Amino acid sequence: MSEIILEVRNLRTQFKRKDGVVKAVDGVSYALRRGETLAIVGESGSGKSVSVTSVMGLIRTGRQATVQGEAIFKGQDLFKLPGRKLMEIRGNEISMIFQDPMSSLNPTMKIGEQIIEPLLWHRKADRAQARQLGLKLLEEVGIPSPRERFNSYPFEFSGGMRQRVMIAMALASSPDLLIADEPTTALDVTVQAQILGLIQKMQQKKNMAIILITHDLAVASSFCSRVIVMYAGHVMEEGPMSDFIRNPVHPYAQGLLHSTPVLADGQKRLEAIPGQPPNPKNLPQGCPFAPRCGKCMDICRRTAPPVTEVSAQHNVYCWLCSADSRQGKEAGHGG
Amino acid sequence: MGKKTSGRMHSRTMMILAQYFTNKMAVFCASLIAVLILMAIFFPILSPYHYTDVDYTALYAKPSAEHILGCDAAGRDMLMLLCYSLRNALIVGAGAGAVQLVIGLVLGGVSGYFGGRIDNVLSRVIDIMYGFPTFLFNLILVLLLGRSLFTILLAIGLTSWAPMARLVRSQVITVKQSDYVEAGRALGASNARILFHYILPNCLGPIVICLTQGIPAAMFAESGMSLIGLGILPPMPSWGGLITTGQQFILYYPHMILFPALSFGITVLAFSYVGDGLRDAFDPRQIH
Amino acid sequence: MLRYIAKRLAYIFLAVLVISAITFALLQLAPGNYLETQRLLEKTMTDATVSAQMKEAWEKFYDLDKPAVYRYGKFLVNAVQGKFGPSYKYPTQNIEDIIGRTLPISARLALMAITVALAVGIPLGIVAAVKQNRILDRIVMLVSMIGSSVPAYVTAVLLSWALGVALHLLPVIGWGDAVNYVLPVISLSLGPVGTVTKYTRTTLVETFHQEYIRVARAKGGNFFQVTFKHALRNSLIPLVTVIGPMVASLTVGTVFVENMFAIPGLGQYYASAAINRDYPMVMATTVVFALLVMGMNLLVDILHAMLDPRVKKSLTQKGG
Repeated sequence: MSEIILEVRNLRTQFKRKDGVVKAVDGVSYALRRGETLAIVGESGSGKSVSVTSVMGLIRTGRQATVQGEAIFKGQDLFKLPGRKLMEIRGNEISMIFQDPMSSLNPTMKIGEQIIEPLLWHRKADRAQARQLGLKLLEEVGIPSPRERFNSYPFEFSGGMRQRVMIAMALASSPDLLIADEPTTALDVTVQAQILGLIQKMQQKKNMAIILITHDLAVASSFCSRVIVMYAGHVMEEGPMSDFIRNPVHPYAQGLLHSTPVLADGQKRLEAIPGQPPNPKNLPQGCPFAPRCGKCMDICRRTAPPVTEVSAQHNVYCWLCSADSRQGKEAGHGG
Repeated sequence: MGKKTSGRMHSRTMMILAQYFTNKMAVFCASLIAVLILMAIFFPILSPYHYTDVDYTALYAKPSAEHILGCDAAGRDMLMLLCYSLRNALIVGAGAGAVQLVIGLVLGGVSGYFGGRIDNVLSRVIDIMYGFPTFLFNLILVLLLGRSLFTILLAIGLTSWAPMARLVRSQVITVKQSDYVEAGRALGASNARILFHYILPNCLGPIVICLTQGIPAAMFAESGMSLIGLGILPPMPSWGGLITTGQQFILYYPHMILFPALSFGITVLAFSYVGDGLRDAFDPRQIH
Repeated sequence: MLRYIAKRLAYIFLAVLVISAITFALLQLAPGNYLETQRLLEKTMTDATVSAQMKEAWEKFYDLDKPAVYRYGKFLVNAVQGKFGPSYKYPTQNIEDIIGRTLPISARLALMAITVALAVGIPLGIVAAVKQNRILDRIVMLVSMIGSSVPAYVTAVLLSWALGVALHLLPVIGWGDAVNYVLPVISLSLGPVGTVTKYTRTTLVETFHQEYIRVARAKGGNFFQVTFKHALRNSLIPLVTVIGPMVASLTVGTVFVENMFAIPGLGQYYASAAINRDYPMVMATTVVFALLVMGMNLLVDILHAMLDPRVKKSLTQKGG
């Protein structure tokens, strides 16, 4: 197995608002290996975007925001690095793609210039070399007539094309880790498939580690090998994608899978998870999913559940499993 | 139907007012202006001095217990002069603002509402108006109409309505696409009724802001004209006139120019802060 | 693009025509004429001095015996050639010569004021935006507020008192040396500095919230790269559109500042012409100022189009 390049330990990110403290991320831990593809799945407000922007150091910490925990990338804790060093890693060893291609590109700058910026800023090539690399990248991501398009402006591209430009920009410096925050949410369904395919192709070619953030399980399962399910700033379940799809353990994860429409299955009714996500300023004391969980027990409301290993690499944070495994052990059934 | 639109406005007005009050500077300046207005109204009545009172014993008097801000070249009390100037400036500002409003509403409203050829022609007119050297025109109009308060404010209003008209036009164009306008038309409301009862009340925000910017501009223009010598006829005091005369005595009697300059600056500044505060209050992004 | 420029030039021509016509008409209606005002001003003259013959000769010289339409027509014909004829007050000089002498001075003042406004206002605006809502921001905004609210002549007066009279640092009167420029330019530029600072800060703060700024930071850009290469480019482009109205208000400002510091610029003539009923002068200066302001607006719009690729595209598409 390849080495671990990113290990996040007990990440907590909080925002101070006028009427309270928002615990956007409240104790998230995971590990990512080189070349591995991880999907972080959750509803909006689950903290999935905030968790990665915290790792990237893009949150303005100070009076209004605090980030705690550790994010160890290639042996260095990103949170303890001085700003300059962090800037050297961003766009260089770790790249990020954002959700809305319309607003993610500078409207008054040619896209060619924007693509080669990571190369120039991190002094990986001079301008002439960078231009060549840029043209090659444009070709790789599937933009026709790269030589003319290099000097075009963002408003001359469609949404799908712009996202391809974003991908080219992120791949320019051949990063070890690519973070894609809802890269297809703002795109048409057909274009979605193309973009996902492109990302997968690039990943295989360069053996990059990928963190894919999405609310759509279908998108997550399209090429990611591992998955983390987040809810209200906490991890609910994590494990290999194949395992997870066949056997989701956490009640929330089960709900998610059942509420994903599957065309092949005939006219099954869509099951929505009842209730609303909790107010992040007022998180419940125990398991955050307790108020909506159909299988909620007393202990769920009082204390946060510990992690239980369901099978190899497959962990869940739920009292049900913990109780079962305890019972199972007591009854001598092993687990 | 009218009640419905004003019902919507009512809670919005509350929101806007609430937002405005979070801006301490703007609130302070608004109250300052209120105080100034009260001073302008009551002081001339209550003051023992009148602007025609010439006091030869107190020529160029420096500030003292009797004359808090000193006297001018003819022994007239400075505080009283400033209050009268303030009063005149406020009248000119408000009056010119009213003229700008009326012309701007009509031209901008008609142009925006009817569109097509009417809009083309009226837009050209507004554009030409933008190119007018307004100050020169003020002077010419004053030459033509005379130098009373009313004619001056009329002149200023007649030359400065272009920004208001353009604003009203763009607001009307935006609002006339709305659903409730469709609804009103479906009910058979006439064009005039739609324009004045449906559309314009919902454009109030930017219009009010434009007005608060127009008032200090009018005050500038009026004092500018006095500076040159074509302002309000003396002996009626005006800020511009006070500054011109005070300028000559800057070496020996600085109070003659300092107080008018400072009071003018502070008044205009207050209006600017109020205008900014209003703009922030109406900004939909700020409203939580 | 060229078609757009041609269209705009045509409109400017039309507008100046309309403006000159209206001005002419208004001047015909205005009570009092030059001779009378001069008589009022120069109290030493008596009726007998300005005899009927002299009056007739004077009127003939200025074509006042011909109908208004003729005079207007002649004015237009001459104006197109750049000639405005003699003024009432200075019958020996042609107005175009006067303008030729004085306009460069006023233009120089205005240009210097704009330069100062940009050179000082933009950095101040950047500082205010970067240190948003902290003390430095509030101080800068207060100063710029004062600058843009208080009129040029008020600050001119206060400055000349403070620096010229009280501290004897700078000359208050006189013209010719570089040092004479300092006070007038400072007074003229305070308003524009305030405007530019406020505008820069506002647009920059807005730009900082845009997504592509976050992307630039995610690419590893440092403060300078993000602020100057990305944010400023987007903020400064709309700044260009502010310069147009600034020029218009500067033309008014020069009137007062020149008056106050006794500078021989066009602004002085402008104001005194109206008071003295010097009609040819009024007509000429109106046309010149209108042309200047509208010409500047056109230049500014062209500059805007060249800088902002989106505007450029829409203009070149329309015109072709």
